[in-house]
Order: sequence, then structure tokens, then C-alpha cells
Amino acid sequence: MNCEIAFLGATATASTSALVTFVIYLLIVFALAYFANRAQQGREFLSEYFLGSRNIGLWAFALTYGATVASGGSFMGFPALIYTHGWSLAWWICGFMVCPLVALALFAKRINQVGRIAGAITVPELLRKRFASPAVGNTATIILVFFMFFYLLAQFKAGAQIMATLLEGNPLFDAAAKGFDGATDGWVWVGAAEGSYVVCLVLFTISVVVYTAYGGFRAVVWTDVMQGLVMAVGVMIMLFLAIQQVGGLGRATAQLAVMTPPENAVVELRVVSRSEQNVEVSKGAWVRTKDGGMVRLKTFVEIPEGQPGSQSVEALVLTTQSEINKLTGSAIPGVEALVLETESYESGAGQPGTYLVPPGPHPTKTGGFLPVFLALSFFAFWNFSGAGQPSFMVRQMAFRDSVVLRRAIVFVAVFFLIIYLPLVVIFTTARVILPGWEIAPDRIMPEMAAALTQNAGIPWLAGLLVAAPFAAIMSSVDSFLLLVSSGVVRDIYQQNINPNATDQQVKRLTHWVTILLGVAGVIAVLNPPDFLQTLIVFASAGLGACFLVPMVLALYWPRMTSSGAVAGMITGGVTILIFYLIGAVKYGRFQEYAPFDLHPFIYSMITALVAVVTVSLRQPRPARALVERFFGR
Amino acid sequence: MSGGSELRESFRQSRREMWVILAAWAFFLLWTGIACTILPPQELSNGTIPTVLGIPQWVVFAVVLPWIGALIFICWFALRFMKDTDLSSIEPAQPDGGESDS
Repeated sequence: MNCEIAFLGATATASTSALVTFVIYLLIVFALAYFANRAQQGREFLSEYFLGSRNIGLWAFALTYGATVASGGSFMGFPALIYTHGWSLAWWICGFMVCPLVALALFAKRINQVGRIAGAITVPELLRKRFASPAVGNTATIILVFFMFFYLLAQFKAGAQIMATLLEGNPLFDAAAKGFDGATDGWVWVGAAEGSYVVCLVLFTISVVVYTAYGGFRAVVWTDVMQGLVMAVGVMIMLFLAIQQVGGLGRATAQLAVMTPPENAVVELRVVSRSEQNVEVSKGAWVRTKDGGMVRLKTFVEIPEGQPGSQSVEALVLTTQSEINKLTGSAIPGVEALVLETESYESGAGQPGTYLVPPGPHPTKTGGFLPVFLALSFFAFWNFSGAGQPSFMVRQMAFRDSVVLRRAIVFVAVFFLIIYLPLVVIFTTARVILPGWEIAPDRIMPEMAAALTQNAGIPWLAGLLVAAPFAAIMSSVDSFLLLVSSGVVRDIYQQNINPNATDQQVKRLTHWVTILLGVAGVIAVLNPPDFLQTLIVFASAGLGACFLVPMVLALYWPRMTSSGAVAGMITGGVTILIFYLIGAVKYGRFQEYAPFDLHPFIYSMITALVAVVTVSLRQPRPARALVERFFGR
Repeated sequence: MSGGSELRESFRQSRREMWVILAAWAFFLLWTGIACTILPPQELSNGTIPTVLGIPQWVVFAVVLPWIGALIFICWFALRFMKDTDLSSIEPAQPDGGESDS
């Protein structure tokens, strides 16, 4: 017989009302997909399904753009980084201040204009027609599908994690999770996945695939509008609750100023009183040490019956006395830890104030989290890699007129301001309110939402707050699903295999491709990498590296040739892959190699630019008719 | 859009806007980059990090203020400087010609 000493994260006790709020939110999403499907009736399938008939108005265009940019990374990975490294993240993210200019105004008008002249529905199709070259279109499609798939994986993981925080503790959910674990025990790949995570992953994927496949671009845009509003409202509520509960921002900053980074450790657990049964201690439990310190367990541990039982386990050791004092009452009774070995942070260890100023603490990098050149390269990265994302380009092909564009630029600028700066404030206060989440930093957003609403006595609100990051993830996943399916259907099937396909055939294939993408995504992400943000940054960098320079020059440089476009895309993509490959070999994990602390994206933009210009200039000028068609006489 | 000359003019206007955007990006990069590099070490060397409304002072001068400045600039750019282009009347042109061999 086992005696479980359970630790529950704040969300594990989230109320049924939070779940109900969340379900209502999901039902609204499905209703919007239904109405979007009705609106499709009687219109040409491809243009309507993938581009909303190029008739998207201000609110829809601005919010679909903003919501798609603010992906799972913004609400899961970004909060995890703020929590782990402190106020440095204000510098890291501040490139978003000019993002509406660089990523939207830089070529939205031109891309919309060229897209209309070409009659293009997808980004690869636009490039193909701009250069009258199938090779350009096919290269763009292959690159797009490759990098976009990595992006989807990260978003799927984030969506499943958020769903898990809401369903945890629900008897039906627990039974399903246990059933999965039992049924797949010993299976290759699938058996290694956690049952609760897989159940959530499947539920998340089904919901997003269904409404995307059913409603198409219009459903994606409409749900984005709602999701954008949910994000903005959710962040504002969290900001208010966080500042109120921490006793004012000044107090939070003062407490942060004395904090020092925790240490990673191996500890030995001892049951201090006689036990007639096995003692199970959950991941995340706080345990007091012999010398009065506090450690948090990184894994579940079972201490066999007997007196005194003992077991070694990985843990996080707090080093800030005020945190230790605050958590003393949370320690589980009857168990004690003996610290066997510790590993300090490479940067910031024992330095009060490290969470307030750059470069910020880091467990493995001696230069800290954010050296100067890395920060500067991120200012370029957010803007230019954002500008180079095909999922944003396709939206720029869909707005109704330039008045919509001009107003949307202002709208998006305000949206980013009220999302990103408050997030930095909220999750620096999270260090004070919820210490010790370095053990699972990607969970800090839902944990914080649940903790804030429970402390405020309004647990149902957790459903809405958790819906904010979930909305961000859904709005990104639906866009990417649509983008990849359009690449396969329009750019591969219709352009290369069956140019005379009927609307009905195209429609059926589109739905099947979307479903297959969902299935492939679930299988691939059953055992995902730890840090979402690494995967998201890799995919963003890859897409930006391949598409930004070729697209900007395609729109603004009449002399550019099709071979130049292909060379630019391939060179940009290969550069990114090489830098990540070197990083993997050098550091032994999935991480970019960044010489001089500059992100590889910067190098890839340079190599892509050199490739496009060099190859184009070595070739004959493009045909006059082609140039006049897109640039005028 | 009726003729090639209008398209040409629209293209030139878009190109002008592009240069202004790139200049604005460089300006805000320099502001935040220089301020974030210089201010935090100065503040840290004083022993206590000064704050404004509870926010570390370097964040206010190196991030919040430029962010507000960028917002004001964006409003001017989008609502005053950027020109409209007639997009809705564009009909897809017939594809003609690939790359020249001459």
C-alpha cells in the first residue's frame, strides 16, 4: 500500500467553473467556424478558403495579424524566459516596438498589389508568378512546408500543456490518461509519452483541425479577432491582479533586487518518522533541508517502506533567504532532504540584482542570458524574421484596401504595446509570487493565472486567463495549418499534378491534408523537446532566412531573376541549418551557434542577400514584359 | 489600377516608404541599444537599482520611452506619410513572358 504525499500546482486545484469558462470559449470558436463555412457558400473555393476573397477589413486584418504574431511562444516560452532571467527580457523583446512598421508596412502594400496582379493565392504562387518560374514556386513550397512543420510542433506542445493544466484532477481525464499509459506501455516512441499529455494533445489537435478545415481562412480570421481580444483582456486582468497581489510593483522590484538564482542539486530524501508503507513524493513538492533551507523536487520519487527510508533525487535549492522564509510552511511534513551536491548558475550566482539588469542570470552561459550583441541581433530578428514569415505575408495579400492597411498598422502597434510590456511586468512579479518554477518554466503562465484568480477568490476567471495563451496558440496553429495545406494543395497538387482539378476535388484534398497534418503533428510531438522557444526561434529564423530577402527584392528590385530567388532562398535556409548543426555538435543539444553573440538569422540574411544579388547580376535581365507587369512602365 | 504609369508611381512611393521604415528601425535600434548598454551598469554600480513607478529606471528610459516614441512615429507614418494605392480595382494581368535570354 502506498501513501502519497501529493504536491499540487496551483492549477491542479483549478475549479470546475474555470473548465466551464474554457469550454464556453471553445464552443464560440466552433460557432465562428460554422458561420464562416456558411459565408463560403457560393464563392470560388480556393480564393475564399485560403484568402477570404481578398476582402478582409480593419478589425479582422489587424487582430488576425496581431493574434498570429503573438503565438504560443509569446504566452508560454516568453513568460518562462522572463521568469528565469528577469527584467533583461524587456530589452530582448523591445524590437516589437517597430514590428508593425518593419513586418507590416515594409511591404504589405506591395505584396498585396503584386499578389492581385499575379492573381496569386499563396506565397509560393506569388513568387512563381512574379518570376514566371515553376522552380521558384516549388523551392518556396518545399522550404515552407519543412520549417512550418517545426513551428507547428512547438505550438501543438504548448496547446497540450495548457489543456493539461485545466483538465488535471478531472476523474474522466485521469482515467483516460491512465488508460493510455496502460495500453501503450512498451511501445516504441508512443509508449514513452505521458498519458495525460497525449490525451490533451489529441483533444487540442482535434479541436483546431476541425474548425480550420471546416471554416478555412475566414474562420481563422474571425477566431483570430476573438482570440486577439481574449489575449488583450486576459493580459490586462493578469497585470492588475499581479500588481495588486504582490503589493505594488515597487515592492515586487525591491524583492527581486535581493534575489539570487537557485542552484541545481542532487538531494537525499529521508522519511523522518516511522512509515509502514511506501511514501510517494510528487514532482514539485517542497522539502525542508536539515540546515533549514528549502528544496523543490524535479521528479517524482517513491521512498520504500522501512525506517528510515531514503532516496536520491534531483532538486532545485533556493538561495534567497526571503523566499525560504516564505515557503517554510509549504514544506511537506515527515520528509527531510540532505543536499549531496549542488551546481550554481554560470552567470549571476550569488549576485543580488541580477534579475533586474542585463545580461540576466543563466545556468550554463558565462556571459549571462543577454549579452549586448545578442540583444541587438534580437532587435533585428523580431522585426525582419517577422517580416519574412509566410503566414504574415499571406495575410498581407488579403486586406481589402490601403486604408485598412494604414489603420491596421496603428492598431497592431497599440496591441503589441499592451501585450508585451505588461507580460514582462506580470512574470517578473511571478518570481515573487510563485518561487521555484525553474523546475518547469514553460508552465508558469497557466500556474500564474490559476494562482492569481484563486488568491482573488474568482477561480472561474482562470478559464479566461488560460484561454489567452490558448487563443494565441490556436490562432497560430490554424494559420500554419492553412498555410501548409495551401502549399500542398495549390502549389504542389494543382500546379504540378492536376491543373484541371475541380473545386470539389480541391476542397476534399484540402480537408484531408489538414487532417493528415494534424495526425503527423501529434505523432511527431509525442515526446517534444523541453524548451518551446528554441523550436519556435529555429522555425522563425529558418522561414525568415529563406523568404525575407528574396521577397523584399522580388517586390522592390526589377532586375532580380528567378535563379537569384532560388539561390537566395536555399542559401538563407542552408545557413540557418548549418549554424544549428554546429550548435548541436558544440553544445550537445538543440541550440544555435551564435558567433560574436549574433543570432544566425543575421548571417543568413547577409548570405541570402549576397546570393540573390550575385546570381541575378550574372544572368541576363528579366523580360521587359514581366518587369512592366509588376513594376509599371 | 488603369495604367503602367500609375503602377510605376505607386511602386516608387512604396520604395520611398521603405527607406523611411528602415531609417526608423535603425534609429530605435540605436536608442534602445545604446541606452540598454550604458544605463544598467551605471545603475548597478550605485548599489541600488533606481526605479520609476516600480519599474527599473533603465527599462523606463531604454525601453518604455522609445516604445512610446515608436508608437507616436508609427501613427504619423501610417496616418500622414503613407499614401493610399488603389488596390481593389486591380485585375490579374495575363502572364506573359519569362526571363529574357538576350
